[in-house]
Amino acid sequence: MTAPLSRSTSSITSSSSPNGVGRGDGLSVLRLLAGLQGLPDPVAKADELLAIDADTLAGWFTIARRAAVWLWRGAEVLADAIPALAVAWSSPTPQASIAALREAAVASRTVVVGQADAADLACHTLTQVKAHVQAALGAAESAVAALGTKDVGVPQPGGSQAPSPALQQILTELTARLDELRGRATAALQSLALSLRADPRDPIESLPADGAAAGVSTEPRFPAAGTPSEAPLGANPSGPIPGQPGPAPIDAKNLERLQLDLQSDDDATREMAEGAMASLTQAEQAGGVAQLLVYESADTWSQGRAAISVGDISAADNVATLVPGITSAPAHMADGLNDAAALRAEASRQSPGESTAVVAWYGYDIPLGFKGGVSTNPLAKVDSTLDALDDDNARDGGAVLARDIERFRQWAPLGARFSALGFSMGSTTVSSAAAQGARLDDVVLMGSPGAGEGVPTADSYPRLPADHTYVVAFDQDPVTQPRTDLLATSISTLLAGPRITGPNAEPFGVDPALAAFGAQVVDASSNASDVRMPGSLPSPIGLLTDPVESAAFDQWRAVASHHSETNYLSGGSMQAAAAVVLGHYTDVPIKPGR
Amino acid sequence: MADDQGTAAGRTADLTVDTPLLRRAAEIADHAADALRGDGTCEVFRSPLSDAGLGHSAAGREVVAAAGRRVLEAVDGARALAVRVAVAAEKIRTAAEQFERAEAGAIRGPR
Repeated sequence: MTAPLSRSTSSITSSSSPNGVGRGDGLSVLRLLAGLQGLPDPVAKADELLAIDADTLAGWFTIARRAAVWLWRGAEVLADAIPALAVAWSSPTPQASIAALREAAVASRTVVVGQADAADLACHTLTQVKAHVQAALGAAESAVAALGTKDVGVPQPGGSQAPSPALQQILTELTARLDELRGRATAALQSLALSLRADPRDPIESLPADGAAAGVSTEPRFPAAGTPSEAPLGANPSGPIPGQPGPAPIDAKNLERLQLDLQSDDDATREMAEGAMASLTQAEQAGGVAQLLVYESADTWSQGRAAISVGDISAADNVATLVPGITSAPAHMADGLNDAAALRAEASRQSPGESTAVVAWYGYDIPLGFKGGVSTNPLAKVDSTLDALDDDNARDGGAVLARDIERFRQWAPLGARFSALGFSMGSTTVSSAAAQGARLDDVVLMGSPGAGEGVPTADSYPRLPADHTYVVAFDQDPVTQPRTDLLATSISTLLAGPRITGPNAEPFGVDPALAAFGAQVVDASSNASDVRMPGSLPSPIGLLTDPVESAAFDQWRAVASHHSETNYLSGGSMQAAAAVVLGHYTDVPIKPGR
Repeated sequence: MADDQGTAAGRTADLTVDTPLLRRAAEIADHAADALRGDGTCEVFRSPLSDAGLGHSAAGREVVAAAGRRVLEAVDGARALAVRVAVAAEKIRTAAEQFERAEAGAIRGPR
């Protein structure tokens, strides 16, 4: 279909490419034609490809090449030590140890060289693609210039004129060529991304501990600095080995506080400490190492704060922080820890060579926390109930989460990837943390009622590019729908009266699954079975024959089944979440927003 | 050269040790550690790749993130291996020293 050209081509100003090369009127005509036909701007498409910085990528990998040379030279020299050892010491153990070190150097070098070669290949392809893009633009420009005024379809005084078939043909061919070139660039990058999933340190890290390196052990071994013991969990889950000197574990102070709270006269304080203790045991069983990264006592006014890492944060390649929704409480973290352990297991399944620690973060004042937490006074309960009706606690919690993540970063290895995943109100908290400058590589908002006040789009996060914000929102989950805002507003008005500032139409902020929000919406389906089965419900529930009551019951069941953290961290959505945690973006299925 | 007979759990094993050659092997391992350290500096590298430097596609972003890590890990790996090799060299040297002391009678065997 063609549209009439309603503007004179001479009125269109020339543009320039990312490389600073000027563009003529021919390309402007093609842009205009594409715009009139509702087609993507071919020049913008070309610019995206021309902006790819292949040279910087190639330059960066020269450092990897240097490391490969070091590994090769090291391996060569070690090879000379093996025969010397064989003659010098009749025991086979020392030479085997040196041989193992040499093999690790060779294996690591193989990975590094493979990755550098893949990068070179990708850079070569990308450079070629860019040259072809320039050529395609030049050819299109020349072809348009070669057309006569009549062939272009320039409007004559007094009326418009449809573009000529020749012009249409040029646009079609240019678009097809650019699509083909984009496909080549994407394929090259995908191939490189796959190659980069191997960690060159794996062969070195899988060597036996230093004490066995030469077949002799001359000194006792102690836990590494900052590394909690992997001894069975007792009263002190990650403390130093009794009787052995060693640095204090990173969670030593929290564990001390926990020990004191276990003896507290305050029921709420003691209940929470007992709950945290049980959670540590559960986390250690799931992850080998459990670390109490945050611990603040509960009392009659507060549920307290706790965060437990499943897996060793001080040795993690990836650190994911999982934030729960309303009714969760630090005294009972079992569900959150199960989900954390499952997420960690999925990450390990997808990338066996990488270590991932998942922190179950019960670190904000979670609305309705008393439902699953310690006994607090009635006024605190009323306050906590009202807190569920807007994003106030999520915003305050976001600031706390941003601070905690900064602390976690100090304990984690320097290059560790950090992500935060929030469910329900937890997603609003994660969004608020990102909006308040949390240093995160990625966020995943699951079952979100909203991104929080002051977060109109995914561009609102100062340290997080929009395309690093992922949203999972099941269509059957009513909490992600606008009716949740409506319900919260109605109840809030009923209980507390109209706000001074007037009714807030979006008490939890913008739905991040909206296309206008600009996040990456994950293409995943709910893992819970469909719940809309009125009439088939068992007695006495089946007595709810009234359509209104049945609808209400359906709604309740939908919330209960589709809107659960475990549902979001299952099946395809779990796989996508783990891929984000690992930075395997090509494995995350994306669909258009709502 | 030491040629000892040791007993363990009722079994006997001959152990032949050439301590000067052991020291030579330790020296070679030291050279290997030097080679693995590269230029010997503790230069800190930082990825120059920007988030959208390879485009906004998922593959482009994944490569930026992964490349930033893997290159640093390659350097870290070589340096970590250098430490392990140096430790092994030291242990070989210590073993040579202990064998020499044993041969010189400084360490007495069980009566």
